[in-house]
This record gives sequence, C-alpha cells and structure tokens, in this order.
Amino acid sequence: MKKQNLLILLFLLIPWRSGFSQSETGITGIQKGMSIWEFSGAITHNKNFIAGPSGYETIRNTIISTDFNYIRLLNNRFGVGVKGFTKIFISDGFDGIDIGTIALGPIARTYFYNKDLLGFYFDASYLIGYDMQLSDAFGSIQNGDVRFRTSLRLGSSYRVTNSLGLFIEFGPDWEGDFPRVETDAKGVELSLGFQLFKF
Amino acid sequence: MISIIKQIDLKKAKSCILLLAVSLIFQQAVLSQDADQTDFIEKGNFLLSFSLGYSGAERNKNFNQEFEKSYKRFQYSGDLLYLINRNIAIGPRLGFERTERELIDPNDSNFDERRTTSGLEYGLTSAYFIKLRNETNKSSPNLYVGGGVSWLRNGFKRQSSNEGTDYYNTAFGYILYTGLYIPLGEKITLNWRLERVAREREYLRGDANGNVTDRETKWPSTTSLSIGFTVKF
Repeated sequence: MKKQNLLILLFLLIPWRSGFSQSETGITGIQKGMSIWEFSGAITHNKNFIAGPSGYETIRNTIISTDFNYIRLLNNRFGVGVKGFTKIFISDGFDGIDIGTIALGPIARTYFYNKDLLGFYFDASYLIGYDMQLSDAFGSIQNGDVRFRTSLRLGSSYRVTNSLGLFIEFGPDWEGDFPRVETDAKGVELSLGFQLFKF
Repeated sequence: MISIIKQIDLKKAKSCILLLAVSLIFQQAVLSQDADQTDFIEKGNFLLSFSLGYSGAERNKNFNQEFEKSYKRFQYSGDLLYLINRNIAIGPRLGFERTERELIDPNDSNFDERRTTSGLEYGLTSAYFIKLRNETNKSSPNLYVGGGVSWLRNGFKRQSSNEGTDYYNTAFGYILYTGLYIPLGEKITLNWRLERVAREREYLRGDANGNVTDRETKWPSTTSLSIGFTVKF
C-alpha cells in the first residue's frame, strides 16, 4: 500500500480523542455547526524593462493569488468543507489575462486536541485543478493539464478572539495526471495564515 | 532519487520542530493578551512583522523546459520596528530566500545539475503611526506610512558533474509603504499593507556583434497588497 493511502486510512480509522473543554477565557470552543474560513492572498504588480534594438520597453504584469479553506464542523472535533486556490496573471493593463492555476476540492478535518486557545488538527483534501504545478519551483509548466492532488496537513491553531485565529500547518502533497492513486510528483509545504470562525 | 526522499523526510522532521516552536511563540503572544490593557502602539515597544514558508517537491515525469526534477525553497522576510515615541518607529529589515533545484535530462544520463538561487536582503526601515481613534483603548486601529532602504545580495550557483559557476551581485533599493494595524489583542494585530519596492538595475544594449552600445540604470519595481500579522513584545 502506498504511503499516502496508509496515512489517509489511519486518519479515518484512529479514534481520535476530542479533548475538548470550554475555555476559561470566554472564547467559544470548536463545536457542531461552527464554520471556519481560512484565507490568504496577495496582489502583486511588477514593473520591469527589456532592452530592444530601438530602446527599452516597459513590461508590467499583475499576479493575483488566493488560497482558501471552508470547513463546517459536524461535531466538536470533525468537519468537512471545500479547499481551493488560484493564481491569475494579468499582463500590460488587461491586454492579456491568464489563469495560471485553479484548483478546487473537498477537505475533511479532525481536531484531535483542543483546549483553551490552542488546538491541533489533521486534515486531508483532494483537489482537481488546472495547471497545478507541484514540483515546479517557478511555475513555468503551462500545459493546460487537469491534474489531481491529495494533501495531508498537521496544523496548530490559536484563537486570538472569538472570531479570529492564527494557524501554522505542515504536510505532504501527492499529484498526478489521473484520479487514481498513481502520482508523478510529491512535495511538502509549511504555511501560516488566518482563520475566521462563525457560529 | 532515494537520497532526495531522505532529504525531504529530514526536512519534514525539522519542519515539525519549527511548527511547534512557532506555535509556542504564538501561544505566548496570545495568552498574555488580557494581562494589561495597554495600547499596542506605545513608546519602547518592538513590533515584528514577518512571513515564513518552506516548500519542497520532486517529480518523476512531465518536467518543465529546464528538466527540473526537484526543488527545495525556504523563505523568510521581516521588519522589526522600535517605537522611539508614540508615532515614530525605526528598525532593521531582513529577508532571506533560497531555492535549490535539481535538473536532469531524460535523454542524457550524464546530465545532472544543481542550480541554487538565493537572496539576502538587509536594510533599515521606519514608520509613522496615526491613531485612528482617540480613546485610550487597546483596540484602536492605527494607520501608518513608512519607508526605508535596503540592499539585496542575489546569488546564483550552478553545479554539474564537471563544472560549476557562481555569480553574485548586490542591488540597492528603496521601500515605500502604507497600511493599517487592527489590533486583535494586546500582543497581536492584523496588518494590511500596500508596499512598493524599487531596486536599481543596470540594463545593457548591444549590436549584432555582441558589443555593448548602451548602458542605462533603471528602477524595476514591485507593488504588493497583502494581509499579515504583527507581534508586539
């Protein structure tokens, strides 16, 4: 059995302890019906020059990148939702718009430790995406391919207020051309971000 | 192939330790938020804004045009500001990024090359804070404008089985930014930031024989809008 399948199986079968307790700080804990939004994004505009035979030409482009998770808790430790990310390139004042990458898929998360302001979780997601570029350091692959990515994340979150928290997470990805278990690329990622909580 | 997998596994272990370490820093910052109801922006405070990331991957087929087989990238950037009074802060700006790539040619078993690009940024930055509400309240948002100068030392290293090249240069640049702090507690604030970084670069033009006919210094720039967080200590 491949390593990622074994990890997913463990994720589903282990009877995780919820460890939940109501915080003394007044912050409402993870509970059924709660929605969690995680979002990171940036808009970056680059101006550069290239030398030509008759002078210098100005090159401008804008990159809009977003990354989001939406999770709805089914009980006080387990939730399901949607995960996605996209990267859009706009060149020379809307002369050209190119969707570099777009991906969307389901995510399942379990909080196996959650006390006071501190929580630890484990999640698994499966994304279907256009021109996903795992293992391409500078994003130069643009084949127009549809690819499939399985991701696992171990994360830690901190409730700053009742509606907002910070998280840091780490985990592996596997990616391939077919919606099967065979993959041709694998990677790891560490990231930080925000969480919004809605009751 | 096996050695790469082992390296990534080692990175996983290191990153797990890093994850826990950063978690403890957050915990310290958050748990103390109700201790004193003091303002976030106060003389003598340090404000740290930073971003941190690591990614690494390898692939068995469908290489890009450079036949990239694997890469590892680490990135950190941050500003540390010291408030010399209620409105003015100064401090260092420090950033580092390193990307290491392994390139192979599927049609040439002798071709195996590593290319490493790195950037070390160091400089000074300053900011002026304007409190948007007058009440002595920890949740008062602050508008800020700032600027600074920095130097970016770029590195490029190519290593193959029979040769290698190194290339380094340092470019001067300036930074202008504005943004909004929205405190979430005594120790942590949301940070909306619009920033422009322009860096000096010399451009060359030449004739058909390869002779340089013109040199001109220009300032390519990057303008970004992002959301992050800032920690006070």
